[in-house]
Amino acid sequence: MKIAVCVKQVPDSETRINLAAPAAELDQSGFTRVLNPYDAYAVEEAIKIKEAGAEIEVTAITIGPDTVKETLKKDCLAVGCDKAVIINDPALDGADESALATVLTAALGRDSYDLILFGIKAIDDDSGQIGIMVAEKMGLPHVSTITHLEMAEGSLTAHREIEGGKEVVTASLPAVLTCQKGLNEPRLPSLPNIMKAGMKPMETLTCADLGIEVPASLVEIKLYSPPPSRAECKLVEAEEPAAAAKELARLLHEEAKVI
Amino acid sequence: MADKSYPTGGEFLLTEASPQSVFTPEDFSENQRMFATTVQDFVERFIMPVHEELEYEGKTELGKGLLKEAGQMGLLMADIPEAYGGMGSDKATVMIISEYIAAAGSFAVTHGAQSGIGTLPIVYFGTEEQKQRFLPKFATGEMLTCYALTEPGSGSDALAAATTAVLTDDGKHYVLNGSKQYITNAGYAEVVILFAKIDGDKFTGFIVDLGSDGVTIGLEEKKMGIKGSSTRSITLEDVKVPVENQLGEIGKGHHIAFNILNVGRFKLGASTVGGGKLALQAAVPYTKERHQFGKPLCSFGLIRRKIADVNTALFLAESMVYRTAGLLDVAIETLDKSDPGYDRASISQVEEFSIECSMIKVFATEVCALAAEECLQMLGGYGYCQEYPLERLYRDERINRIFEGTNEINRMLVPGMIMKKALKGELPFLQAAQTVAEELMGLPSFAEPGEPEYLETESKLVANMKKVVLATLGLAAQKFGKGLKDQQEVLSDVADIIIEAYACESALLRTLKKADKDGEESTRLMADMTTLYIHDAMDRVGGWGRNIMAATVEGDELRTMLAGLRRLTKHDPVNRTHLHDLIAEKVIDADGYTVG
Ligand SMILES: Cc1cc2nc3c(=O)[nH]c(=O)nc-3n(C[C@H](O)[C@H](O)[C@H](O)COP(=O)(O)OP(=O)(O)OC[C@H]3O[C@@H](n4cnc5c(N)ncnc54)[C@H](O)[C@@H]3O)c2cc1C
Repeated sequence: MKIAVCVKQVPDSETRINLAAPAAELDQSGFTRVLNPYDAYAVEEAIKIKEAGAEIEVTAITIGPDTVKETLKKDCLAVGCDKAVIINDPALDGADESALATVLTAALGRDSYDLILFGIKAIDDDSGQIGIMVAEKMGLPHVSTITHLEMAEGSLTAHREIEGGKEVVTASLPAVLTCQKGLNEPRLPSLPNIMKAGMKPMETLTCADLGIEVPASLVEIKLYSPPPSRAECKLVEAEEPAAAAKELARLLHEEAKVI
Repeated sequence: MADKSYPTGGEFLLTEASPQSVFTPEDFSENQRMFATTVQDFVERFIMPVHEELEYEGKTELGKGLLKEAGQMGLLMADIPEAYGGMGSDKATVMIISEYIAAAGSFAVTHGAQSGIGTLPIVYFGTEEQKQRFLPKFATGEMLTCYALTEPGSGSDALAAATTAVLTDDGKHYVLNGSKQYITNAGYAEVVILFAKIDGDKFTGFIVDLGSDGVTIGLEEKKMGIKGSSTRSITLEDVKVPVENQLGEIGKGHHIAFNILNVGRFKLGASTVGGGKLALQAAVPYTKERHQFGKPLCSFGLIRRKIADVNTALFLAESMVYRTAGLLDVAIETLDKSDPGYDRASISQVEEFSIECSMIKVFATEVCALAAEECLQMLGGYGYCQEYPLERLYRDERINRIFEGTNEINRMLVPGMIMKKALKGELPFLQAAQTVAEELMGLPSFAEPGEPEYLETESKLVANMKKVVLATLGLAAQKFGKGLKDQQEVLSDVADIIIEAYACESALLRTLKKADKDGEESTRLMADMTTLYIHDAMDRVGGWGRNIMAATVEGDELRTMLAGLRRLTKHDPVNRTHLHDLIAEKVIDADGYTVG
C-alpha cells in the first residue's frame, strides 16, 4: 500500500510579522517556519496506518522553496514518512489554489497511491481548497474534515464533522481525505530519528520534471502598505478670532509655505 | 607545550586563537538546530501541563514518568555511544540539549542526573559487560539512575567520604555501609553510582541496585527551589553488592568523581545560559507593557541598562560555553572511534580542559544569577510574586552556584590547575610570566597608536588581560611558592581575571568570526556588546590585579608593579549609556535575548 501526504510549510503562528513599510512584499527573512498544524494530523494518521500494517510506504509531498527541506526532514521523515518529494519551481511563486492543485495532481500521478491525505487547510492563507480540488482533478472519492478513520481491505470508513453532529462515510480506495483537529495527537520526532531522517530520500522536482506546463493562476494577491499616517495637527490658539486668523495666515505662509 | 596540532586546556592564556578556530552558536548544524526545537517541543508538550504541580506543589514523583517520556524522544541518550543504544553525540550537541532543557525548570536537573552524572560513569569507566547491562536501559529511560558522591560529612571535600566497602570471604560481594546525601532522583531511581572506601582507604566506584536489602531512601528535602526535582538521602546498611558491580579501578574512584564533575560543569554552563535567557524573555515584554509615569518601563534608562547588561552577559556566557564545546569536540575528534579505549580516552580529553569547564561553570552560573536578579527587579513587586515566573527562576538559580563544585571550589581550581600544568611542563606558563614581568618592570613603550581597526582596541585589551594574569599569578607563585594554595583570596582574584579574559576573548572571537563571514554590518549588536563588556571587565581586572599585588609585595616593588599594571589596564572609557541604549533597543525589539 502506498500513502501520500501533501503538506505545506507555514510561518509559525507566533512569528512576528515585520511590517516595515513601504513593502509590496512581506519581509519573511526572520520567519520561523513550521509544518502546517493540520498537515501534522495527516502525517500522524499516515504513520499510524503504516505502523498497523505491513509493507506500507508513506511519501510526503510539498510545493515550496528550499526552506521546506527542514520541515520535511524534522516533521515528516523523522516521525516516520519514508521519503519526500519537493516541487520547487520559482514559476509557482504566488500561484493560486487551482494551479497548485494541478501541480500536486501531476506529482501524485507519478505513482499509484491508495490513500492521499491532506490537512483541512493551511493556517497561513486559510483557503482549505486544495485537497478537494486534487480529488476532483484525479477523479477520486474524497472525505473532508475527518476526525476518525478506520481502514479496511480496499475501503475506509471516516467520521467527518458537520454542523451539530458527525457523518460516517465509507469510501473505496484510492481516496482523498482532509484531516481535522481531533483525528489524532501528532507525535514529536525523537533525536535519533532526526539524525536518521537525513538519510531518507528527498527528491526535488520542477513543473518540467513533472511533464507539465506551469499552470496559470486566476487569482492574484497583491500587498499594499497602509497609507502613511497623517502629519500632526496643529491647533491655533488665540483669544480673539482675528488674532487666530492672523496666526493661521502666518503659519500657512511661513511654515506650510502654501500662501 | 604538548606536541599537538589542536589547542590544549589553558592554552588560551598563552596564545592568540584565530576567530576561525572557535565554535560558535552561528555554527550549529541543521541537526543541532532541530534538536533544540525538538527539546522545546518536548517541554511544551510534556512539562508545561504539569508545571504547577512540579514547581509549586513539589510533586517530585512526576519526574519518573517524565524521564520515560524524555527517553522515548531520545533526550537521555546523547552521551551514550551508539554501540549501547545511544547517539554518541558530540559535546556541542550535548550542550545544546542542556541549554534548551533549562526551560523545563526542575526537570532540567532531573534530566541531568539521569543522562549525565548517573550515566557517564559507566560510559567512561564501565567494563564492556557493565556497559551492555546498563547503558541501553539508561538510554531509553527503561532504567532510572542517579549519582551519589556527597555525604553528610563530606561535600566539597568529596574524597573524605566515610562509606565503606568490605569484600566478603567468598570474594563474590562487597558489603557497603554509609550514607549519601542530597541525591538527585533518589526518589525513584533504580540504581545509583556511588563511592565507598575499600579497606578504609581505597576510594572506589560502585553500581548499586537501590532495591537491595539494607538500602533506605530518606524523605524529600524541603528545598528553596527546583522543587519538582527529587532530592533524598540514601543510607546503606550491610548492603551486598556483587563484585561485577564494582566500577573502574579499585582505589581510583577519584578519577571517576572528578571527571564526571568536569562534564557536569560544562553542561551546567549550558543550562544556566538557557536559564538566564528565560529570565530575560520573561522580563522584557513586561517592561514594554507596564507603564509608570506615563511611559513604558523599557523607556527608562535604568531599566534599559539592566536589559542591556543582562543580554550582554548572556552573550559572553553563551560564546564561552560553545567555544569550550568546540575545544572539547576538536580534541575528541583526534581519537580513533574504533579503538576499544575510545570512551575512556575521550574523558581524558575532557579532563585536559578542566580549567575551561570550571571557568564556564562559574561564569555562566553567575550570569544566570545576574539575569534572575535584574529581571526580577524589572518587574518590581510583580517579580516577587508567584504569579510571574521570575520568583521561581530567582529561587531555582541559586543551587547552580552550589552543586557541581561550589563556585568557591571551582575558583580555586582554575589557577590551581594552571599551576599544575605549568609545573608539569605542559604549559609554558612560567616562561611567559617571566617575559611579562620584565615588560612590567621595564620602560613603557611610547608607540603612537594609529586609528584602531574593527575591535582592535578590544583585542588589545583582551591580550592585556592575559598579561595581567601572567603578571599576577606569576608574581604570586614566585612569592608564595608552595604556600600559594593557601592564599585563597589571591587565587580567587586571579581566577576572576582568568575567567574574564576567557569570556571576553570568546565573545570577541565570535564577533570577529561572524563579521568575517557576514560582514561587519551583521555584527553591530555583537560588537557593541563586546565593546561594552570588555571595557567594564578591564576595570574589574584592574581592581583584582591591584589587590593581588598589594597582598603579595610591598614598597618599591609594589609601586613598580602597580605602575606596570596601570599601563596594562589603561583604556579610554566608552560611552556606556549610549551602548546600553543601542543594545537595549534590539533586545526590546526581539522581546528577549538576541545577538542581532
Ligand atoms: C538540590 C541539590 C541536589 C544535589 N544533587 C546531588 C547529587 O545528585 N549527587 C551528589 O553527589 N551531590 C548532590 N548534591 C550535593 C552538592 O553537590 C553539595 O551540596 C555541594 O558539593 C557542596 O557540598 P556541601 O553542601 O557539603 O557544602 P560544603 O562543602 O560544606 O561547603 C560549604 C561552604 O564552604 C565552602 N568551602 C568548602 N570547602 C572550601 C574550601 N576548601 N575553600 C573555600 N571554601 C570552601 C563552600 O564553597 C561553601 O560555600 C546536591 C545538592 C543539592 C542542594
